[in-house]
Amino acid sequence: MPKLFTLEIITPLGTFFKDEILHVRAPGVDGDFGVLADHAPLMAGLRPGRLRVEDPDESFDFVMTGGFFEVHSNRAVVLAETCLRKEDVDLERAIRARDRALQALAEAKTPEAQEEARANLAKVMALIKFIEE
Amino acid sequence: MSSLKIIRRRIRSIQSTQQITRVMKMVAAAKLKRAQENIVHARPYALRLREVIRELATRVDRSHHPLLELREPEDLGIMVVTGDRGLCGSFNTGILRRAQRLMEENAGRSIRLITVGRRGAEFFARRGADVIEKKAGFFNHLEFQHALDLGQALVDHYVATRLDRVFVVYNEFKSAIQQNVVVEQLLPIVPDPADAHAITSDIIYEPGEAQVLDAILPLFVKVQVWRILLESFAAEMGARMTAMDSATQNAQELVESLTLTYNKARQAAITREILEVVSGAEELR
Repeated sequence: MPKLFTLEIITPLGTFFKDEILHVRAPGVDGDFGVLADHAPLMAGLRPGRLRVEDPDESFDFVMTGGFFEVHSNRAVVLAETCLRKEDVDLERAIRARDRALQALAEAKTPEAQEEARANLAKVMALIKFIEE
Repeated sequence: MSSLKIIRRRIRSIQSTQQITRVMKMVAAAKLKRAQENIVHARPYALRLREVIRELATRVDRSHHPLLELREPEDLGIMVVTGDRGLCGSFNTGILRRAQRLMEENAGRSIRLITVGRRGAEFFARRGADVIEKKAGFFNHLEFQHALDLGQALVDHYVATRLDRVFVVYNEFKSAIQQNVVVEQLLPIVPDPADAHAITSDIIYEPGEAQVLDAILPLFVKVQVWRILLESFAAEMGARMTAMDSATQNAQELVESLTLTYNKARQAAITREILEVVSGAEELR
């Protein structure tokens, strides 16, 4: 029996997920990474993307729009801005949000505004990609 | 006869007002319950972020992060959180009075305002205050996105116009019948003093300590704003519930005393009529 560890996914709307799991694969800012039990203490920034959680019997996919990952003494915490299951993503709304983000990017004048528009676009693109896979 | 009619009309009008206040009270109670749940749900996230910041702040040079750097307070920003509507007792006036006092205390410094809620916006527009940001009309369908937008606007103003401090005046939710007006400093972020036991020096930061901190600080502001909006909304609903409850009771007392007056007047009219009939009969005898 492989060793398990605790994963908690917390969003501002509450605890989204909490269970003993085998493996989690998270979208790090510098690339995806996987974590198993007994991982060294780590604190990582996450980009918008897919979060894959495996427990001994099954695996789940969630999509999140950026946040942080922390693991310490076999307790992992994902602090997500938002986190959704596949069935909870509203594709039409996401597509509308993408169009708005594209427009905002085209109209952005300052580098900061462009940066913000790009970050928003990355979030909705992660949602759309997640649904279409 | 005409006075009877007038009293009857007044009773009916008070009763229909009472119906409205009773419904408003029940609506406020239902919304309060939801708001309270949201507050509880938002707590773990905010606590965890606070811990992470506390730990990171001990490892990096604070002056490199604009949201942590302490400057002389010359340019102030004050975020005033009121409700969109009245009929909630002293909820709005309490906030506005406290905000004005804060402005008087800091007379001589430059003060810019961020108003949340229609009441505050109207109040300061009449007084010609320097309002740099207005947000209103979202309390009835409050979502985390509103806090994200507002928090981002605060951070942008803070960095772009170089505010030295941002304070927030809002109603803290104590219980359904108690709200406290509080003033808190929102920016720069003051990390809690580090707890020596909690620090584990061997954590790997990905991509780096400074980058993680840079990303987490604005998020922390947004989560604080979310908490403040939730608290303020819950407090507003609590205040409205109390105000509407006493309005309903007052209406009840009025209806009762008017009903008594009505019955007395009716009885007097009947007595007078009987007297007239009796004395008329006496005449005929």
